[in-house]
Amino acid sequence: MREIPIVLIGHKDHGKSTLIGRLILDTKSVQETRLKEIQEVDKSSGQKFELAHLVDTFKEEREREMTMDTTRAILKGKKRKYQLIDVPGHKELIASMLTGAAGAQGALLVVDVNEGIKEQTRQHLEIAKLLGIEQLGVAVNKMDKVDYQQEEFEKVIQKLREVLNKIGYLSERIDFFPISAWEGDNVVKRSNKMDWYKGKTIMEFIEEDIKEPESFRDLPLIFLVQDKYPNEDKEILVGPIESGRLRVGQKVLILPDKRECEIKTIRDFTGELLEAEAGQNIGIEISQEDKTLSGVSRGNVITSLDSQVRTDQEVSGEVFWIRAPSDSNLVLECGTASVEGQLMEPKMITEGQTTSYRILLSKKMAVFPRSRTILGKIVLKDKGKIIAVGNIQ
Amino acid sequence: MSIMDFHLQQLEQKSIYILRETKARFKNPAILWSMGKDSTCMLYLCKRAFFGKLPFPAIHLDSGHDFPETYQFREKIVKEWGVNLIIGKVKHETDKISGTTEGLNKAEALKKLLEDYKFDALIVSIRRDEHGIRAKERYFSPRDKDFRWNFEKQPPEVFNYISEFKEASHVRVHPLLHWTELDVWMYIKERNIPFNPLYLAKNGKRYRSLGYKEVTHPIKSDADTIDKIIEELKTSQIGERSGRELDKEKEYVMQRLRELGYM
Ligand SMILES: Nc1nc2c(ncn2[C@@H]2O[C@H](COP(=O)(O)OP(=O)(O)OP(=O)(O)O)[C@@H](O)[C@H]2O)c(=O)[nH]1
Ligand SMILES: [Mg+2]
Repeated sequence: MREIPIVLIGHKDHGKSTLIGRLILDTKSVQETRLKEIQEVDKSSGQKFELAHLVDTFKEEREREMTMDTTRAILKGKKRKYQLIDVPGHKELIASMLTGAAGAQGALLVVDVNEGIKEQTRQHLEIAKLLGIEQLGVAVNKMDKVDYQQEEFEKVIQKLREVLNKIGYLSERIDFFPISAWEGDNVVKRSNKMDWYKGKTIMEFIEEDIKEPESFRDLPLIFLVQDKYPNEDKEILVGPIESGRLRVGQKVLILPDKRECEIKTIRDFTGELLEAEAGQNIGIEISQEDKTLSGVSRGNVITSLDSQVRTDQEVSGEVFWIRAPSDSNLVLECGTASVEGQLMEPKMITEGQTTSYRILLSKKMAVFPRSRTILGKIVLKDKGKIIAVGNIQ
Repeated sequence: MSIMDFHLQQLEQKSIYILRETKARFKNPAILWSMGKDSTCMLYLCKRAFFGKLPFPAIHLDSGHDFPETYQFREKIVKEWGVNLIIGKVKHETDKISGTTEGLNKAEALKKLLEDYKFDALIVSIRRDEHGIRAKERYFSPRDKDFRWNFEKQPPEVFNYISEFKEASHVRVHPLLHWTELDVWMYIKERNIPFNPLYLAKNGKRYRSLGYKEVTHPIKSDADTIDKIIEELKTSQIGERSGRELDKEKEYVMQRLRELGYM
């Protein structure tokens, strides 16, 4: 997308929403009329004005002084635009946190300098890691409450380093920012109250260090069969090219059956194409020996002959449990495929935890373990509802 | 291909994916069409997703209070694009038109249509950047039997995975959620999509958003071409829907309306 998605994570009340409010305000990313409207509403309802109200727009959120549902705000930088994703820090609202965090290109962890590491500081970091978010910065917030003292900052980051390393983020490669989201110190404007700090502001970090999302164009071909549409007397397979490239005449494999076939036509709305690549949603015709598409349907994957995409009946990796399953019969979803299976491990599940898992499927499924593509990412469903999110290893 | 082109293509491709998911997951979807820029853009995206065909009917919630230009535009598009148009009659008492009644009357009319036609998915062209409440939406958002939106219990949407909606009366689908107003205009220009002439300035005023003619006010503008609209939006500090009475932050009107099933 044009805007690079960055999620703000961390324990409740540590200042995620306030930091977003401060960022969009000091960069003039928010329209003046919005700010005035909010100030008026706060006044008429007898509430204190909070920067967080720029993103906490529900009445209930303002009354309870917490984010209850994930939201996004656009941040305008000098050369790029970003989508700042706010998520709730409350433990009960973790499903909403996952919705916001999935797909983010980078994360900013917000930690209250007074409170230090709390339950959701750790949990949100684990989830960010699990979701494959590699770029991370840590904002040590509310420095105004400790008179902007360096010792307080150092105390917190020392403990943070341990936690980060344990979760798999290399702490020596991570930047820590002493800030006050409320006062605006080191957010967009450099603070004149912390001479001891020579590093970047949050905005400089966002603009200079967050990398653009990488293209999947040079990864192995993955075409996800999403649906089949009739077209005159034939049928075409439609779906997105998740990664790699595809051209007319190319020999490919249909997974999970491993049937070989040839791409006969590629088309979009404008007509026939000679080739297509990652990111495009297209329609294709294939030719194979029995000349029909019977058996090819939603959930199948088309890949190149030499691809690392493989088919497995037993799948394992790591997942975060939104809640514990009601029994061990679950559905695993990967790409557009949805297959029933028996959860073998773990035996004991506590909601809110990240664990490894192993599931035995009723039939084979195309997977691309440890990849950044959708075939490396899964959800588990219990009676139609998503109860776990994770990866394949 | 220019950089701009590439960004618009990404937006478009994501919307096409969601429209195709809608077709794959639901039996009987319909599209809400107000003849405004966003929902007309949505019809066009459907044509792109389904190789020129429009597999879903389009619903116009019609009160007779839309601008004459809007009705003319409707007839033109229906004819040119072969739209299967369903008109939902919106009841109203003429002397009591306000932004709020506009929203509530339309929600009532929609309820009736959904019962009559048994639609299980409704494609609605809202965008996150329109309003703080709309920024809280999902791509697929279930509504209960009374049409209520329970924002506290929104199911997770991770990567492209969504839950089934067994208890929902219908699901609202929002394929344009990630677009901005500026994106929509740049896309309309890029793809040469027809649009309602009310958006262009006449005598120093133009409409940025269209609702009932009684409660929709034009903004000051000299943007009488699409290029000028795009320029104007790049610098504007005024909210898109500032001309719509029902959208004010005041008293959380938008939140209440959405909870009651308004679009
Ligand atoms: N003094 C001071 N207060 C702050 C600062 N940042 C945030 N706060 C206050 O801390 C409280 C909580 O801030 P929020 O931004 O709502 O916290 P949050 O992390 O979004 O909390 P949840 O949404 O519940 O997860 C608010 O009253 C803020 O005004 C800061 O830098 N200094
Ligand atoms: Mg918050």
